[in-house]
Amino acid sequence: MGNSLRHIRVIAANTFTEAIRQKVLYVLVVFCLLMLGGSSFISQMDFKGDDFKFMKDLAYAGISLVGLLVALLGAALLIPAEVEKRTIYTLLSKPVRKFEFIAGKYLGLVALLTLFVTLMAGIFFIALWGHENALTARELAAGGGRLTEVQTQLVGEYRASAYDPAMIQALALIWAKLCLVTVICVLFSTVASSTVFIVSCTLFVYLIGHLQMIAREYFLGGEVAQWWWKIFLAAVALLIPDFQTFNLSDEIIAGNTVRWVDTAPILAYAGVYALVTLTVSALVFEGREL
Amino acid sequence: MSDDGQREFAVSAAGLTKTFTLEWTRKRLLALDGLELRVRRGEVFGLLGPNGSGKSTTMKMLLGLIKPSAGTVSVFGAAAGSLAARRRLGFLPENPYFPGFLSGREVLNYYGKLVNLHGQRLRARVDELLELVSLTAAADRALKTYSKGMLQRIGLAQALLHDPDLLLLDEPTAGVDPVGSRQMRDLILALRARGKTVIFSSHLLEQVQEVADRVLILHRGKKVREGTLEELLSVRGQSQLTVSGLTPELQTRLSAWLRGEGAELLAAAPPQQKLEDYFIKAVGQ
Amino acid sequence: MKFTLLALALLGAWGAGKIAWENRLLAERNVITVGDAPPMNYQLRDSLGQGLTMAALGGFRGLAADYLWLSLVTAWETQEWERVQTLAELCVLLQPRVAYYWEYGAWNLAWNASISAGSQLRPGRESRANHDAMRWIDAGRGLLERGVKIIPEKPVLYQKLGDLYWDRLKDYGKAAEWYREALRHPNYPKYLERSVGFALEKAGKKREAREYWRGLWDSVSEHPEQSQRRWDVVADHLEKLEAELSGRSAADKEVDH
Repeated sequence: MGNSLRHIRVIAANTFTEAIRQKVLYVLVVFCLLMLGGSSFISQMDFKGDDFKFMKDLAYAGISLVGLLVALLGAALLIPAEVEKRTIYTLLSKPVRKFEFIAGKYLGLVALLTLFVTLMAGIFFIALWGHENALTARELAAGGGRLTEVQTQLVGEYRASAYDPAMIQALALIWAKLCLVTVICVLFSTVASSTVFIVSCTLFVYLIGHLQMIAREYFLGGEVAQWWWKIFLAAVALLIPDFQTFNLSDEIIAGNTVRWVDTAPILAYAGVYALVTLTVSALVFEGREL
Repeated sequence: MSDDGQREFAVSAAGLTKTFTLEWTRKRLLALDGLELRVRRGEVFGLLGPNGSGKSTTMKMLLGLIKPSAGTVSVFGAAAGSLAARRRLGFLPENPYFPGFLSGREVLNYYGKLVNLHGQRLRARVDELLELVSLTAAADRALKTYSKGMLQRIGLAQALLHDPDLLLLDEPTAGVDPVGSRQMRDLILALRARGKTVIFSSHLLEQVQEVADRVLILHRGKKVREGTLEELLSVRGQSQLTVSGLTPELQTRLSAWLRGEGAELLAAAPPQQKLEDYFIKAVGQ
Repeated sequence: MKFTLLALALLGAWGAGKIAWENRLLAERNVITVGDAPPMNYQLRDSLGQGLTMAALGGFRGLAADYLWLSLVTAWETQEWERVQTLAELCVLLQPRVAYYWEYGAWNLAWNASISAGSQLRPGRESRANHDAMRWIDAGRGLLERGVKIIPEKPVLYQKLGDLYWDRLKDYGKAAEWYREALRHPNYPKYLERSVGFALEKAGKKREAREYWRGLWDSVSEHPEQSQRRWDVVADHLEKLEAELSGRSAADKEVDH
């Protein structure tokens, strides 16, 4: 047990190092540019909209995309590469169990995702801070250094929106969603060896996962007549996670009240789902001949 | 050595068979057919055969990477692939490829931790092995800058990390230059001197000849020969003499005399130096 | 094979269990989002382009709505009011829980579109222009009235309804009602407290206004000069009304309704 945990940690650290040395962090530059472009875009043209909502939407979409890229490519490139380049033979000739390999790879990717999400969140917070300062300065300038009652209200709203602590929850939700996508990608990586195939399958699950709720309703409602349609709905409802559930982050971006007690069950759902999927991956991999 | 037959052998396999089912056509492919294999402790054992003869399949089954379709295989009495078995063997894969982003030292540290070495012991062991495979100078360079021979040596070093009793070397000299090849051979002999069991596969027969105590020849998944090199290679009823100062005239007389004694001179030619030896001498090693 | 079967069994068992969990999460979600915001449904696919739908489903709904909002701003600048209305409807369909879309969607209709329509005066067609102006006001009001059902917990849409009744319909009594409603929800802007009083006065409900000002004054024991609640204004209005009303008998003609 102690050895297993140590092995998992060592493999995770190796996976993380590999990704970092492949210079994946350069992807962050793209995100920086996105944030910079986004905030200067709304400052320059009078957006006549909720500036902070736009910035948050942009940041969350950016984090989702970059995270998805990291998760998909990480799992779909690194795991098949171990098999293809036969480094896994060396690894498994040591007293290392296959599940330790799978768990180590996964946790290494989770560590990578955590780093990415944290760094992107940092960049995002700086952008928010900058924009809040700019808007407040504009109000101050307009009022000649003193704020009217309405302006004070407005500045207060800017502050509340820019420094909303619930954004941590939204980031946690994105992170959990990305971790779940990663484990699904790991599962596909244990059965297939083509990166394109693995990525396509995972993306398919990702998209269908956003419709899973509808499939579930129909499946439980039992209103569908055709048997093949029923089987399809059952498969979607039973096998695919409900990704829409993570969109509670939309509520947070909209500035509506969401508490940790609302977020925690979703994080727990993602955690248990990831654990089950990881176990399934390990079982599949255990049975696979290399 | 106990009386228990299992204990005497580092590896024993009985009726080892492997069939692969091709994924789409569902055709069955017999990769290994009823192999009997016993490798004694302390032996250097060569597994010979052309490509596709079943060498790699045998190796993989010894490692437990694939399961036999029929038959059994054990390593020091433990089921092949079990943790107990893997704790006692080291493996050098064919054309070893290691994470190129790591340096030689890092890759040994990585694998060292996976065989449960850590701290001071790990550091000491890594230094020792780098020295053994003469890579101390290149230890901190990234593996992607290593030559084929260097990779082979770092591969051997990682196989030796936990000081295993059995070494499995898959084509250890494939694609390696003669100097590297000779180093590998010397290392194998050094390991034998320390009582290790070595099983290696090769299709380069000459190299096998120099180190193997016993060889097994595989062809299309079946054992065709097995034995010591002496048993397999000596030509019965013939002997070889090496003479200096043999003039053509003397040769005629010798030939006539031999015929008179009921023997016959079959061949006479100056003995050829082996090109490998010549080469090694030429490059000053 | 053994492992694969085990894996499939585990996957199936989990699948059966997780559905219940997902339904519970959805139920909890519905509690959080209070109102009757429709879940993402088929409607969407019909009313939006394919690519946009994909983005919306893929978790990029917010950005899609932002894009639509940008288009709305463009349409507003070119005074294409029908288009503004369509886009506002799309925004609130995509993200019904964003108060901003309801608020400014309604503002565009009930103010900008309505004023623009009302100013298209041609001789003999005044009634037509007025009718159009009123139609846009109704459209804005409709949007807000739907909005408060979906986001009932925030003051902002009630406040906007109050503004609409005050500004566009000149129905100050109704405006006071909506402002009062806004005050029942947390984090309302403090000036809104006074808006209720102003609206009541403007509606001619002096008694009610006096009671309101007095209640407001009495709601706290300290009345600092420098505060966002402008106690000076409250005091002025209270005193003015008290003076005005004390001069009359209880059976005055002034009617509060």
